Amino acid sequence: MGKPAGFELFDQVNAEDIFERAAKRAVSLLKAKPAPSGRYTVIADPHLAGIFPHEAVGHGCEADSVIAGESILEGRLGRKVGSEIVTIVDDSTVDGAWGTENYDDEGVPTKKRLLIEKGILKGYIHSKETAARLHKEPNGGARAENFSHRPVVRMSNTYIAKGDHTFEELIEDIDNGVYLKASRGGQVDTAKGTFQFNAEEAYRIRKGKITTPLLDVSLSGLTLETLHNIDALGKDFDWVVGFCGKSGQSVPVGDASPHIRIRNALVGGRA
Amino acid sequence: MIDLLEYAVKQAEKKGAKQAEAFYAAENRLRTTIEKKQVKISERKSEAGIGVRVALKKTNGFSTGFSYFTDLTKKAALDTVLQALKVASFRKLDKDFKSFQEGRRASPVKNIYDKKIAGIEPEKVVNLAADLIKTASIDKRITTIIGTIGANTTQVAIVNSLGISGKFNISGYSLSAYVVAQETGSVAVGWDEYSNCYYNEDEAYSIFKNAAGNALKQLHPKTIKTEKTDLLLQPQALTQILAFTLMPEIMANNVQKQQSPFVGKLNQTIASSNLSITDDAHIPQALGSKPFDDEGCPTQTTKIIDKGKLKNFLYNSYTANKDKVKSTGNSTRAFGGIFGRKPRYSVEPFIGPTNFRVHPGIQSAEAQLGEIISEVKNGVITKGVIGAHTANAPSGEFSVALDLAFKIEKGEIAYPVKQAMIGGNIQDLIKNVTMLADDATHVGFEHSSMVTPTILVRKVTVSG
Repeated sequence: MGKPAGFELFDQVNAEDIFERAAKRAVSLLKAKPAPSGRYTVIADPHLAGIFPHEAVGHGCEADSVIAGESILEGRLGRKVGSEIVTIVDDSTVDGAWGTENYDDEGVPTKKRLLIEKGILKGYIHSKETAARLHKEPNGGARAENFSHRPVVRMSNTYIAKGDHTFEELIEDIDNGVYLKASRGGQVDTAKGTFQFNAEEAYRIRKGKITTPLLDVSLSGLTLETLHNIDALGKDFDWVVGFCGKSGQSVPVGDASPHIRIRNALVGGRA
Repeated sequence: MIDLLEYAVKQAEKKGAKQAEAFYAAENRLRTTIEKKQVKISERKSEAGIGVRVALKKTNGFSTGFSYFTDLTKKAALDTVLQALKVASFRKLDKDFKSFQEGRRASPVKNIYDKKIAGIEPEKVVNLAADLIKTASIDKRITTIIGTIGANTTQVAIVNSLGISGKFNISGYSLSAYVVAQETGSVAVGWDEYSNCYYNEDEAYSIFKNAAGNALKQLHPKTIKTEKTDLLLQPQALTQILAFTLMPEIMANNVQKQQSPFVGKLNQTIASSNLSITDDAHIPQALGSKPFDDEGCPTQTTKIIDKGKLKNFLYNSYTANKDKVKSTGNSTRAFGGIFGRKPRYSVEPFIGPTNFRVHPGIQSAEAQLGEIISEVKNGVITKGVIGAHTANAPSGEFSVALDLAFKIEKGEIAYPVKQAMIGGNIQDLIKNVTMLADDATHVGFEHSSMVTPTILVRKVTVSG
């Protein structure tokens, strides 16, 4: 839990709930079975799914990576990169979000940046330098950890826009799948377009029902394949706070998503 | 510098500290970045400062305080001492704190400081970078070359009120190369890296050549099926996995907090007898080598796993006092990695490895890499893994994607693997180490390193 706020946060959130959730998760892991390996239909909760727009898409939309030739999204502006239900946004102006700021670290006013709209790649995140090199307008994406670092192109608050399914609707027709919740983070190779995300909590889905708890497991995939394999979005939506590392610098970022369903995703268990 | 450290310690005692310690670290870093076949950035940074720790006597024990300064004057030293004392007076009594590091004599460690790096000009590195781009441009399918060349020097000095007084210099040199190759719809990535205390241009050329070669070999990968198979983890892959599982699990602070699967397992068999692991602070030219740790304790060679038996945990003075043992000289203030770093003088000491050396427990477990591969009927070899930092250190569970992996069939490397993952826990992995290759490689971190060969693990579920 975190917000750029003061102690009034404790009026909105019951801190004891956070400890209770962690305790329940630890107890549930005692009965957990090793996770399966191979390809499954996966449901990711907002805290895990929120990493996807950041790691898999956002890093590939950072214009410095595009210019350096290390983004799978290079040369795809205006082209279809994912399923029609996928809209991904990086927005520095979300009220009360962890990565919000009015100006970036080159003094450029920040804004909402549409990265993918209904499956079409719409834009990149820019510093003044990358905007000039790609003949675009700067959009306030240059951030530095502090005075001793140079500003580099970074995300702010990155999210997948929500859909219209209830959780029950998402899982009801899954015969054999995996439900992944919460995350300690992930890693991405932007040039090859591959990613890995860890889930802190996982369950087997059998015949449309959540069943056995599973030990820690991760999800891996190819960004472009996965963007096409997202076939349903929940109507819920939640933020996670985090820090993003790049060029030896760490900056606060927010990630958000609804529950999402991914077909044919690679799950790395040991059973 | 020792004078200013002595002044800070004397002032702290005069102002009421029962014990005091002053730690100085100064770093000079030169970093050159290659971006899409061009030398992009060359930057030089310097930072220096002093961290002061004090122990204040209270009824039934001590409380400790910390503060630091970067304006290296007597006035700033005095202000910082007063600030540290104020922090100590606020902090609660720490029943486990007994003392800062007792004075013990440290012997110098050879070959950790390259004078050439201290005097290096940015132009020289920029010219090298330009040549490296040419070296890696071996084929028209190579579309992108990215890389960094880093060279740094660090000076460390420490004085405390228990008789410790010492200083040393260390240098570091690191290279990374990341190459993208493209051909008819296939995008492949190859990489390699190198680090050492000494500057070495020959190594730079071979790293960039290897990365380019790896990228070309990864073109047109194939999908593999999910199955139990032999797995060869190359040095960087094993380093990543150990760094986020076994390494934190054998640090005394995590053991004392019961956040380790090895609590109560000293002198028990926890790994295959084929495997030994040692923390060795005296390896020439290794980034984690040093005469004394960040509290002034002389460093040593500590057996962690000996032929499969767990022999020791790694200690700093605080955790050693708590367990009533001697510190193993593993106190560190080097905090860093992909998520940003902090200057060492600004951090209170915690625990970290020096050079973590993985080696065969018995001689018969070692063979040439080629021989090991030739005996694998069905398997996978991987240079790296992606996402090791998401491992669950207290339980040892990890689940990672393979990076730069190849399928092995009938004793030969058959084809590049499109996508694969492995899951498991470190306790099982170290029990199933079957062979170790003769290709021990030094993989450097921020002021520490891992020296490990490729290992063969049998019957690992690889999902594809």
